[in-house]
Amino acid sequence: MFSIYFTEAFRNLYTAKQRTLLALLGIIIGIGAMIGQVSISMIKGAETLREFSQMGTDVMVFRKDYSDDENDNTQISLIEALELPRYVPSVIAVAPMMDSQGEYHFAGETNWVDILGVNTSLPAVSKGFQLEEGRFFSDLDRDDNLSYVVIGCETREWPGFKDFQGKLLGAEIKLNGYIYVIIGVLKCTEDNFIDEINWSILLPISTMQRQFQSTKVNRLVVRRVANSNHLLVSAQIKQYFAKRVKGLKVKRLEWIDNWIKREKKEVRRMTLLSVAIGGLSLLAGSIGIMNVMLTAVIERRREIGILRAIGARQRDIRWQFLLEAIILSLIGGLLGSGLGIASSYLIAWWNEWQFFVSYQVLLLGVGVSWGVGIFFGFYPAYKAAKLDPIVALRTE
Amino acid sequence: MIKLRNIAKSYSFGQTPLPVLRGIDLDIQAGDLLAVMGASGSGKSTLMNILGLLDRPTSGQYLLEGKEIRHYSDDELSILRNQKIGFVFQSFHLLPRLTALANVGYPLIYRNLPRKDIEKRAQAMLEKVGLADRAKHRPNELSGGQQQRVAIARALVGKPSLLLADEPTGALDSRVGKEILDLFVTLNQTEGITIVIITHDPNIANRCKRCVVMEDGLLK
Repeated sequence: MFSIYFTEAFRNLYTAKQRTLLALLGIIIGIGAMIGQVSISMIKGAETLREFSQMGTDVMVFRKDYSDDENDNTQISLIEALELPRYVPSVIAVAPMMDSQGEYHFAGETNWVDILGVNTSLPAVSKGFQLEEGRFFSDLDRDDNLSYVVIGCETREWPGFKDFQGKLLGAEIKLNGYIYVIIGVLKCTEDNFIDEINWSILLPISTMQRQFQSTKVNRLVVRRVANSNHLLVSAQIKQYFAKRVKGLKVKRLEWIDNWIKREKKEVRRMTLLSVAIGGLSLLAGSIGIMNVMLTAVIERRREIGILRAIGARQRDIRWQFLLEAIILSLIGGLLGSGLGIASSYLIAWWNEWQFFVSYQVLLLGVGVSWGVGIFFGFYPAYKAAKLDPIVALRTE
Repeated sequence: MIKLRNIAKSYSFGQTPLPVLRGIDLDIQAGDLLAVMGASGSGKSTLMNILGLLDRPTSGQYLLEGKEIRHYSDDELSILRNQKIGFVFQSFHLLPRLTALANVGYPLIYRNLPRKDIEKRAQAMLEKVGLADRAKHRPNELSGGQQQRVAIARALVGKPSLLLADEPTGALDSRVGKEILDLFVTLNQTEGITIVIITHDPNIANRCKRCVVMEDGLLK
């Protein structure tokens, strides 16, 4: 029985080619607009999140929690910081940082500058870390007679450095009265959690502790295993410090995660918005289907009468018309989804975003066109089935 | 086979009901060839619609093979139409997209028969009406007489109890009309098919076994 409905539906659609084509066009554009918009907003969203994660979603920053008075006499020390990966396995790398200020004297110029003590793990926690020239500190730098510094990209433009004619690498610089050798110059980084390296002079943290006579670590940049749970790792780290140093509370600076959370929310909002806008164009296409089906019912009144006379029940007529609408919208949905996905591919290609087809988009396309066929096909089919066979037969 | 007792039908236009049939008593025996005559507006089309289960009487009793059909649902009436009634209309009422063969076989689709059986029975029926060689033609490739033969084959394919023909020769010229009429008479005589022809042509009525005349919603 159903196969008969099917072949009949196809035959009817084929017979009314022009009308079928117009209805198809409407639904193709409708579904295409919707799927295209949703697809591109998902691609764009994934792209934004990827940018964020390149900046470091797996990077967490900790510092001592100053809001707690009991914390006053405690501090994060270098040894405990460096031993963190041994006790918290999800931690890949730890970059303790110490910051201060000082006066440099170079090429006859004197100026104030931020001084950052860092260790050799800094490149491992920051994806944006890159050298302009020279090299970074190394674990092999054991020679206590030579103290090295690395210059930030903006510092490079400051008095003394800017007009320096000789070779910067290997040149000597005086910092708070001590002599250092410049071994590297950094490229500018956009990593927000370490962007002050751009306008600082970097020292090995051990050197800095010795010369500033302090063992205090101000900040801890931690890189965790990519698929680990950030909340869990964060809790483990806090626990570790609480255990190692009595009364020490560390606090996580949450801003990257907050950004991502906000961005995800934004992406979801954009996707919903595009569903709504696409839905409007789909509505127009769907009304086209209803219109075409209603016209078909009126045009085929006599046929409906004949079928009723030879024994078609109301439900037979209803199914026949409903099936036509569903077939129409499913074909339209299929082509429209293809169109939408293709156009989102083009847009992604143009913007150099990474293209993907999400199964939600495909489900949406098929589901929505199926639903449209049933919803907008039902009323015409109902009308067709309810036609009085006598009146229908009398139609010329 | 069919008993109509005091069948009345009225249509209501606004407040006042308009009676079309006003108490019809009619018996149709198996093997009958009955002509229903009457001027237009006499109610003979309404009578045919009621006989053909397309319409229900407002009051009265309709027994089809002993069963009272007044309380049948729309679906049940559809099934009965499919199994018991064959219609032949003045303007043929074939489905224009389908071949003669597919048109003839269409009623059997609603009986869920396999396609092969349907085609076999439709082909046999086309042979019976003398159109075996036109099976693959569409209605617009057939003459009026041929179209009416296809319609008759379609009406008979389901072996109905009653063949209802509404002005079957009305759209045909007199020579072809006579051929169609001959076909009805032959089918009635050789196959024993019960036929009711609604007509206003006395020449047709004369060739039927029985004739009733309607006037003003009553049988005279």
